[in-house]
Amino acid sequence: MFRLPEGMERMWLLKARGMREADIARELGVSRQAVNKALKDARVKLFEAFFGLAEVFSWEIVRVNAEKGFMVARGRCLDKNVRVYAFYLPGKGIKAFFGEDFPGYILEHAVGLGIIDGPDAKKLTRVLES
Amino acid sequence: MHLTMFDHPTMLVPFILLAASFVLGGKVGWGLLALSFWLVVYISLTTNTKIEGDQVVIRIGKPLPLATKKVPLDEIVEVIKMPSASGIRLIEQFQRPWVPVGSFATGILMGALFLHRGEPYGVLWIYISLISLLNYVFRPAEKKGRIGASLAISVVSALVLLYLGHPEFTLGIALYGVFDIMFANENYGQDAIIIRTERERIVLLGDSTSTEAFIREIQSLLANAGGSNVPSS
Repeated sequence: MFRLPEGMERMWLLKARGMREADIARELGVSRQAVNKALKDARVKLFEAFFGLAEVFSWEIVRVNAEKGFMVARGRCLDKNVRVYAFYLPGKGIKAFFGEDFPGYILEHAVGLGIIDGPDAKKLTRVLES
Repeated sequence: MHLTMFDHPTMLVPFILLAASFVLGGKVGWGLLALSFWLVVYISLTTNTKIEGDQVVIRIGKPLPLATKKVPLDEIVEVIKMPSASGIRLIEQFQRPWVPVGSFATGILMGALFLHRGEPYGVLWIYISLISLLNYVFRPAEKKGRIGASLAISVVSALVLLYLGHPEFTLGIALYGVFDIMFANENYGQDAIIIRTERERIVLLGDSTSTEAFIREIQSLLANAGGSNVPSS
């Protein structure tokens, strides 16, 4: 299972929640340069994971956002074109979903990262597709 | 066809030269007009985007470089691929819509200037500026609205020219209007790749072959960068 290293994941999560690099550095007691480097590495790792996932399943990438940790892709399931939404969940790795049927924990995760302002599946789909 | 960066101020230069050529007139005007057309061809044929080393390099013009932009791969936070079929309302995507806004403003100002001088073909400048803007405002999926707007602008422009006593220009508007409606109805559109860093958003336009090749290249490079530089958990 793909996971970011613990320290890197903590920094990435704080950044994804909208915290500035200087504030992250202060909160974690590290230098700002270390935060900047870790965030760059985290983004590269997330791109790698999402691109890799799309390649393995032959999904066509529509959007990869390493800042908030999600991917939108086009895939095929039972000879039908389907939308695939994948999210990086801290501590759990990447979870992918066909269509717009998001479980509650994904909606909570999206609210937590500021992707949407309330737990609404339609709103989440709209934001991911915009 | 190459991947072209469309929201760069350099792309606006031909429009400004074209406007200046009409304002100045005479030999200087003809020179600027020729330079403007040459620039349009030069920019469209020689602008390209490549991944060189660990950065995306966008060059406008080659061998004579008019502008170069470099984006380090590790600064990229988002990559979006938009095929024409899913619709692109491009004006929303540009961080700095130099070309749509610049060409529109140039066209409207020139049109107003000519009309002020009593030259009726100012209507043609305004007409073409408005029609060109439609390509950036509507998604290809919003065909009906796009065609309706094109029809309305063409009819109003033709009526204005008839009112001004220049029916010969209305034929030009009718032909251009029909061409524009056919163009909109075909769902024609380029693919777009949008690269977002923390500071800016870059829109690259090209055909599907070049956009797919670019995505494949960026995918392979980012994968390699992650494998070699980042400690795994």
